[in-house]
Amino acid sequence: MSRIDQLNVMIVDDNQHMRSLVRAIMEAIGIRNLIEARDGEHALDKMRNNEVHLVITDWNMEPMDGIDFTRYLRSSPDSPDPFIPVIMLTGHTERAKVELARDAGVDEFIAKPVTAKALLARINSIVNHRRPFIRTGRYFGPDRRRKNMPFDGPEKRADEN
Amino acid sequence: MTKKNIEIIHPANKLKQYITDPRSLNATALAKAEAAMQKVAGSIDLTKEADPTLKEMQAAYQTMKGDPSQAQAQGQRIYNLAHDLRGLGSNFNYPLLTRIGGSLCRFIEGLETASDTQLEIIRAHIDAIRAVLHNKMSGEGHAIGIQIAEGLETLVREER
Repeated sequence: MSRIDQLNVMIVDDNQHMRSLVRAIMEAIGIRNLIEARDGEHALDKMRNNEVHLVITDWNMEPMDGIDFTRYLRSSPDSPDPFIPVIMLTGHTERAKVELARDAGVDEFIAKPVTAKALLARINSIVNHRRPFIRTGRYFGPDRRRKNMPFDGPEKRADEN
Repeated sequence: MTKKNIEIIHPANKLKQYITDPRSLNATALAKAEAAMQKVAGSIDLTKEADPTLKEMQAAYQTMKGDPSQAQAQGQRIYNLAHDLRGLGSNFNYPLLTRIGGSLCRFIEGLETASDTQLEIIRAHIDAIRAVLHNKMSGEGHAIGIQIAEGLETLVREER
C-alpha cells in the first residue's frame, strides 16, 4: 500500500500563485502534507518543527534565495537534513546558472514554465535513480556526474580540495 | 587531495519509502495533475495579480532615476521583479510578459550605473510590461506586442 499520503513536502516560493500551482500538482497525485514558505529562511524555520522529505524551491527570493537555502541544507552544521532531495524551479535557463544550482547541491532542476510532466519526471528520477552523494573538500551533495559513463576529461574531483 | 579522499555516500532514499506505488506517478496521475494545474492557472487573473509588482517596479525605476547612487540596489530590485513576472508569464499564459521580462533581466543584470540611455531602455521595458498587462495580451498573437518585444531585444543586444 502506498504511503504517499504520509509524505511531507516543502514548497518554497515568494510567489503565492506559483506555490498554488505546485500544491495543485502535489495534491493531485495524493500528497496531503504540504508546507509552504516564502523564502529559504522561512523554510528553515518551518523545517525545525516539521519533518520534511522533499523540498521544491524557487531560486530568486529574499532574504534567502534558493541557492543559499540549498547550500545551507547541504553544508550547515545546523541543517535539518543534509541529504534531503531538492528540486529547483526557476526562470533561469542559462548554462552558468544551471551549473551554479548543481554546484549548490540541488538534485533536480526545472526551468519555468513549471509543468506537471516535468515535476513528476523529476520526482520519479529521485525515487528510482537517486544519485549517490559525494563529499570532497569543496563540495557536498548529489554526484554531479549524472550517468555512470566513462569519463576522459581532466580529473576535477582530485583537484577540488 | 587525491581520489581516495573523495567520499561516496548512498543515503537512504526516503522518498522511495513513501512513493511505493508506481501508479502515483503514471500517466493517469499525470493527467490528474495537469487538470488540477490548469484549474489553478485558469482561476488567476494575472493582470490584477501582477499590478503590485508593476507598481513596485515603476517606483524602483523612479528612485533609480532620481538618485544615481541607487542604480545598483534599485537595478537588483527591478531585476528580481522582472524575473518574477517572467516566470509568472510562462505559467499563466502571458508569453509576451515572459519575453519582455526576460529582455529586461538580460539588460539589467549586473548593471552598476545608469546612464540616461540605460534609464530610457529600462523605462521602455516597464512601459511595455504595463501595456501587456493593461491590454490583457495573453496567449499568442498580438503582432504589435511582438514588434515591441523584438525592438526591446534589439536594443538590449546593442547596448549591453
